[in-house]
Amino acid sequence: MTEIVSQTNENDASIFSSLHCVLSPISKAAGSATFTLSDSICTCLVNGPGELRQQQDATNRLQVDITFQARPGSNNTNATATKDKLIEQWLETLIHSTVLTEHYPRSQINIVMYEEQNLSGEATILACLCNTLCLTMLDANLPMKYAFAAVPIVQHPTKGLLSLPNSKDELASTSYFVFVFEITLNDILAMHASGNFDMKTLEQATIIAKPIARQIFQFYRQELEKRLS
Amino acid sequence: MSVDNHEELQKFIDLNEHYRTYLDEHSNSRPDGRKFHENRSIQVLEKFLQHSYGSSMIRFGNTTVICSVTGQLAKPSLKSLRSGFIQTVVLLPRTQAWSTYGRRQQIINENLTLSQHLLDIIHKSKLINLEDLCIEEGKWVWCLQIDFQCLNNDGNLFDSCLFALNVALRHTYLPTIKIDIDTQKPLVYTKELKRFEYNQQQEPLCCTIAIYEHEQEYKYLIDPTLEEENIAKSILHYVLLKNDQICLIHKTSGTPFSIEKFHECYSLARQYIVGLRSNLINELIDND
Repeated sequence: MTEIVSQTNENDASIFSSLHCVLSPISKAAGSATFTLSDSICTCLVNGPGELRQQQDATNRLQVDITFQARPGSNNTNATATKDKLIEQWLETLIHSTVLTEHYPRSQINIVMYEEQNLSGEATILACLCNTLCLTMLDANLPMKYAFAAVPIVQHPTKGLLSLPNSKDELASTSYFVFVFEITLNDILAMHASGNFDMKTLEQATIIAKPIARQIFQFYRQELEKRLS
Repeated sequence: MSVDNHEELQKFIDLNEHYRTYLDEHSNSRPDGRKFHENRSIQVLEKFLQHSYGSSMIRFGNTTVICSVTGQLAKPSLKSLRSGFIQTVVLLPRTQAWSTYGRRQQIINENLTLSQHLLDIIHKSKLINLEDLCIEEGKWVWCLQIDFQCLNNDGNLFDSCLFALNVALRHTYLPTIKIDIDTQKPLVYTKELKRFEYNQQQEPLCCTIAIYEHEQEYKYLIDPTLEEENIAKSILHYVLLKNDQICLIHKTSGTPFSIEKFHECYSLARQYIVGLRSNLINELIDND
């Protein structure tokens, strides 16, 4: 399969060139979306809310069953099955806090996420997954408290803090931050940051990430408007 | 589990309600008597496993974790001929199987998540340099197997596992390996033990904060017990290195945070970890 690499433009006033999305590529699912963020492409589909299997606890809220599979055979040496589990658990907390789970007692939704292309390390794919998840839930019309968007920021040893980096920069970077913002107050809903940094760098990264999150929310709006028109 | 008095009955039925009523009455303490920023008592036992190269047992209150470091010889991969391998596994023996929270699968998932976090921390903080594990380039390297057995899970496994790792590594002795020139096979001298060289300066330690919402305000509970982890809206992990640089921040979703709150939590985490470090040094001075 040929790899699709995004074009890099140096003066990025808007990031819309590195975002691309297809809603409902999988027609049989309740909701699905394919999202492209720089060089990473992910697909996600949602099935449900449906019946709860007998073995699971009958809780008074929605049961979320999420599966993520990284692309087998990609040359990312750090990818292990436990890393996929980490991402799954993190995304599950995201879903539990976003979807109004009290409205669906004794039901479950199944979410399957696939990574289609990942040319860079860890930050972009994580952010791509979060955004795909949000678009999928919007596509499936699940009742949500807010929409969320994830922004990847990396710390390059020479170029400093870069947002939405391309693969070359990301592979050379020492630390990365993935912030998940929510649309109402633009506060940080969830975060995963790894590397070697201090609070000042974190603060600077947040300042860079906030306007980008707002642009991603604008992008969501545009895509949904296109679909409903 | 006794349900003798009203308080314990309430705890059994609705944990959230119990915490809410307790916090309404007492403003600065938690049901187990601690203040919000206080940690539990720590007990350290090291070098107690006979067959491992390094071992330690840590108790944070009731949470008990055993860390054991063993090694095997392996051929390095063709991609990097000088690098050894490290594998961290967090296990939950059946002593925990029937705890009342969660299904077994959920517990297994949490442990896999923790294993991955620990491996990430080892790599990112360069605690163990993969080149140090090389015996002969291209031929033999060490494959370090770091196992964590959680004998009793009363919350805050992340902190205890990382603390146990630090203690265990300080007392890890690897046998000397010499390569026989004629047969090119490794000779293991199990009596000549050499102290394992790792980046002791880094010393990553974690602070887990459970964020609980009470009366529109966030309360930060440091070193949460299992009950507190279950009722918490979200959990924040801060892993700090010795020079106060941050190695990992992992926040689960549920509470929108502004950057000031992150600063607040960072100062709390720093205080807590300073306490942990002095604990680490004191324990090891006593036993050395």
